[in-house]
Amino acid sequence: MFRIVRLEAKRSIALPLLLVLAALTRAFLWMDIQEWAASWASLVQSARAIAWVSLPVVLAAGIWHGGREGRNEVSELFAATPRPRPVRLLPAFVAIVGAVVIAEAGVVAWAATLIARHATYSGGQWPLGLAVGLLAAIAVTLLGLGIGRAVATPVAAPLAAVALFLVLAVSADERPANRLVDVVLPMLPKTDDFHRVLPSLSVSQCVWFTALGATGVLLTVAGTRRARWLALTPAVAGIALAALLAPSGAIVRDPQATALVCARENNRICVTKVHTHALPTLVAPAQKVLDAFAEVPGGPERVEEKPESWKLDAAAPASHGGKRGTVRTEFPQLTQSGSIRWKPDVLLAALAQDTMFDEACYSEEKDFTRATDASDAVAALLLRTPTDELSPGAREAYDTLRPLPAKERYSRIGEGRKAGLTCGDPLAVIMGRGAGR
Amino acid sequence: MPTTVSPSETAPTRYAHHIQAQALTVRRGRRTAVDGIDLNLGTGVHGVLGPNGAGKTTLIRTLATVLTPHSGDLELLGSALRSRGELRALRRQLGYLPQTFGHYPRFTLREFVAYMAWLKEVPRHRMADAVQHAIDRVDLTDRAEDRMGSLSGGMLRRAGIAQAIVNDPAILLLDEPTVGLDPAQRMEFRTLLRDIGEQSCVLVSTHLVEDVGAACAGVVLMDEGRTVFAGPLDHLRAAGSDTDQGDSAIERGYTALLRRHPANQPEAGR
Repeated sequence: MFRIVRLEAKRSIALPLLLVLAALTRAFLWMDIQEWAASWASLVQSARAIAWVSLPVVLAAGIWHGGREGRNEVSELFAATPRPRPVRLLPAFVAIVGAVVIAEAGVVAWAATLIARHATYSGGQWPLGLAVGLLAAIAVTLLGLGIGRAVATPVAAPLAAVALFLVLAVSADERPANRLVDVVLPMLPKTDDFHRVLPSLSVSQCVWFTALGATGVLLTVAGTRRARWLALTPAVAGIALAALLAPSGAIVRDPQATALVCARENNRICVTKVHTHALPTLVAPAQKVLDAFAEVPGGPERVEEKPESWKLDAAAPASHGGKRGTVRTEFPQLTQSGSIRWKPDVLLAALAQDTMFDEACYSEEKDFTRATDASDAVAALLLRTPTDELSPGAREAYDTLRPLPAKERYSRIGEGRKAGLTCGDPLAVIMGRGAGR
Repeated sequence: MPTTVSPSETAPTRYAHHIQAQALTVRRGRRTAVDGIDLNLGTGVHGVLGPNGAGKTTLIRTLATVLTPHSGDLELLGSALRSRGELRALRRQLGYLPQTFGHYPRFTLREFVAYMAWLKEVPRHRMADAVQHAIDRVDLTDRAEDRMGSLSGGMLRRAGIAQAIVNDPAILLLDEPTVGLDPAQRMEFRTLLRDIGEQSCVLVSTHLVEDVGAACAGVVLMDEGRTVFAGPLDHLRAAGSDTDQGDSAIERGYTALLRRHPANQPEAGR
């Protein structure tokens, strides 16, 4: 058997499939690296999101191989041999499913080695999430093999691939919030580092994809039209059972991931547990901001990572403005050399901005620009950031603040900050024109 | 190196004929393609002759266990094929070359014959030798590592014969095996058939009367699904006269027997 598996691996579509799938998966994961390179939950999300590209390829390969006997007119020859059909098909199944598993698991293993160096919180559920993704790929492969045997026409593979691609691509863009959709689609509902997928969704997806794979196997060995109809039974039963098991809201906040962890040397600077690896990088710029604003009345005393997500949590400026003593910041994610880094100057600029105003207050571009001008002017003054790139509005604010006596200057910055955190007009305050918008 | 011999290989033969059929009827859709045929074929090379649509291919496919008879009795190697186990055991001893020889073009000749040997459950320890021997016998030794897709029509036919004989079959069924072979290859092929026929029952369906004359000891002549004649080649030769059409005694016998068959008689004579 092993010799025939080796022969099938060499001569069937298995080897080209392995190469194409590995290249495609790696390319798409690489393009998305800033989304997942520091967290296991994000890796699961990104790895599963690639399904809209990888599964059509896998389905096409399965169908193409499934139709091999029909295309090459060997059915008559093989029908006169003693080896039972399921045994005859097994080596090619092993080779092709093996190619899918090696390609997908290999790329995920590569991604995992990148993450392992940075990730500080796993939540323990990422292996299940990745396993379900792999199971989906296997199920679609088996389904393809079954369809290929049932519909032995050369156009079946490209047609099915295009159809699946369209369904998955449209679903990825406009996904209705529905438990059946959550179960059926291989891509996970939108999530991030601060949220987790309920294990019950993974379990129900396991049921669905196992049933789908079983239908593929039954379609492959079915010899009659009736048997082919009966082969659909596991898929229908699987989807019904999975829909019953699935939770209505599969994405929930993860309190362990969002718990704050503070720096050992300075417990006024804290980040979420899931981003603990960024803490050493944050300490220096955060301390610089705290020192710079020390003279400002009502100035910040703490810097914390905002444990809220722009993807899933509605922005709440009022709650932000209520704690002026704390700078709540979000990490801008930038990648370097395949792993995630936060550049100190970028962090400093972001912290300065978060110190001066609440981004959630300014949805209009004009208002946001005014708030940014105010922030840039204060940063140039207190943090000694370069002034040559200041916009005209920021330059005017800078020139207004600089000649003021120190006490008045700090007071006006404090008032401007208060306006920025309570959805006022910080630029107007700094310019001495009041706080209204 | 000692060779392992299975008990079945040394067991005494318990059947009189390799192929025994009584009133064998096979239907294809609404049409009766084989209509109540009787056959008793043993060791040796037997030709199946007949015009297009006579039912030759249907008969061969039925004997190859690809088609199921509609009625009648069929025993192959003494087995009535009543269970899956019997069918599987019989198929291990069958060699079959269909009229349309399908193959995997990406496989090399050696790989394809080995794959067929695996499908025929040739024991693993004998497989490499069996594959090499089959390839040697069809004179494709120097093309063994070539892809099937690169072989010419004649070579493919020989490759088809190689896969058919890789398991040393007790019954070898060949449907139009000489199509695409050049004259020299056909002569070699006849020699091969005679060689295999010394120990096996070989049934060759063909249009080519001269192939039958050169290689077969017995003939089954079919028309419209029925047996027109079954017997030794000499009797076929003797059936014709100088007034019958044909360039050889066999061809004259062939046309004479077909003409006399009730299916070909004028309506009034029936």
